[in-house]
Amino acid sequence: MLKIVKITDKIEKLDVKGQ
Amino acid sequence: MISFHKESRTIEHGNRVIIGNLKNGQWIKLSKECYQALKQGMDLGLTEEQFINCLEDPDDQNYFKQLFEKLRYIDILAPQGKPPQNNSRWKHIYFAITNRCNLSCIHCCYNAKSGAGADGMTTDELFSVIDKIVQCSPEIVTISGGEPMLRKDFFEILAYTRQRYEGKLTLSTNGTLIHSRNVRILARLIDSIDISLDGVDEASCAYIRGPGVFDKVTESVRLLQKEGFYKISLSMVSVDQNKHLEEQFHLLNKELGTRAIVRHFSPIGRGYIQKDHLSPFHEIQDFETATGRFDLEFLQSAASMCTCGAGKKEILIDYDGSIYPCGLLIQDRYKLCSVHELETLRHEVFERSCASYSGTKHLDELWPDHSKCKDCKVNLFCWSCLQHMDMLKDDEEAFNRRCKSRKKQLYSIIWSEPEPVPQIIR
Repeated sequence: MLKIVKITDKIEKLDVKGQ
Repeated sequence: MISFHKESRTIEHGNRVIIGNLKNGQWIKLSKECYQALKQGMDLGLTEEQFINCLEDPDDQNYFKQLFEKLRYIDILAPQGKPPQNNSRWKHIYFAITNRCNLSCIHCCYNAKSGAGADGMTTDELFSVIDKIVQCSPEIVTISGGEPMLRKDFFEILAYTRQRYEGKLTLSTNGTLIHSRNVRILARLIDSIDISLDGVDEASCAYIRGPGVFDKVTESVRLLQKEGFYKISLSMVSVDQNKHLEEQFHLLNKELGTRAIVRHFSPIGRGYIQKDHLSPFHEIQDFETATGRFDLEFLQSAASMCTCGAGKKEILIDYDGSIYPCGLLIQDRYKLCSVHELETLRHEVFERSCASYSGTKHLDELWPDHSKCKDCKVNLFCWSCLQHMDMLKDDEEAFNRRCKSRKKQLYSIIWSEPEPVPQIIR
């Protein structure tokens, strides 16, 4: 089973673009 | 299980990944690490809930819940609990019922003219095509030409369509054949009308379309409005000789109570013969200067992925039954099939019939992610109309000039990230 301890690289602001 | 819409595309660049939707042009950027985690979950066939449970960190769980909502918002993920909707309904079908025209406009991409050309199909053959169009319930059907109102059976065709079709029926015309004796029936049969004008007065209109057209069109607009019909668009193709009139064209439409449409000039058909005259070579406007006036957030918001629906969401059925991807890709090499060979226009049947023609292959080759741009990381943002690619694909020098003028700036717009807002420590 997949197990992910910690994501270290995230783009904090998940903005939708291209509208 | 988590699965993306078939119209979704991913582009990887460094440690960032863009996931976008060619259906609506919208996209979202995430880190490669996040994307790879998500991809692992997808490869294992996990549901969203199962994937979230694989994340040990509560912050990560919240982050991916938010990501799933955003992907749902741009239609890449299906609504929760529902199967993916890979909707393959036609959005727009254009039907050119003749290639004859009573005008001979200098920029006509169709090369239609008076005294030549043909209607192509008998009335009964047209009815048969209309049956096939109606059967697959497109959102919009546009009757066009040539000049469609030249056909003696025009109103018979329109009435036949209206009786069977509940979607949006539009007419694309030069507007010169509308008069007091036919305007009432016309206004009852169609939902909207698009009339080409290409100028703001007799002189500017006559230059493109010939004498007397301006007054005739404005009279047609008044006749339609007198019948309570107001969904009227007037269009202008932007060429050197009328470019300076764009603002006036918008004002004219405001005065007339119509909607202005300004289209870019396409050098095909008669337009190709006239292209050096209508739009002689200009130095390309500096893309960096053109975009430099706006901030990154605005530009990223405005920059959509290529949403061209040619051959996928829209088709043009020509006067002889040939089917093309759109009104601007009407060369033989892009012929997808013939409507006369098809029992139905439903997508799955249509796609099977296209297999025996090379049109689909040639159309696919125009897509930026299949063409010579396939390794570029901004390819799907650079082209919005496949006909542009068609015009440039064999002209190495012009192609490279266009690429050089915008690639660096486009990379900067698409792949840059706003500076983080500094935290104020009290």
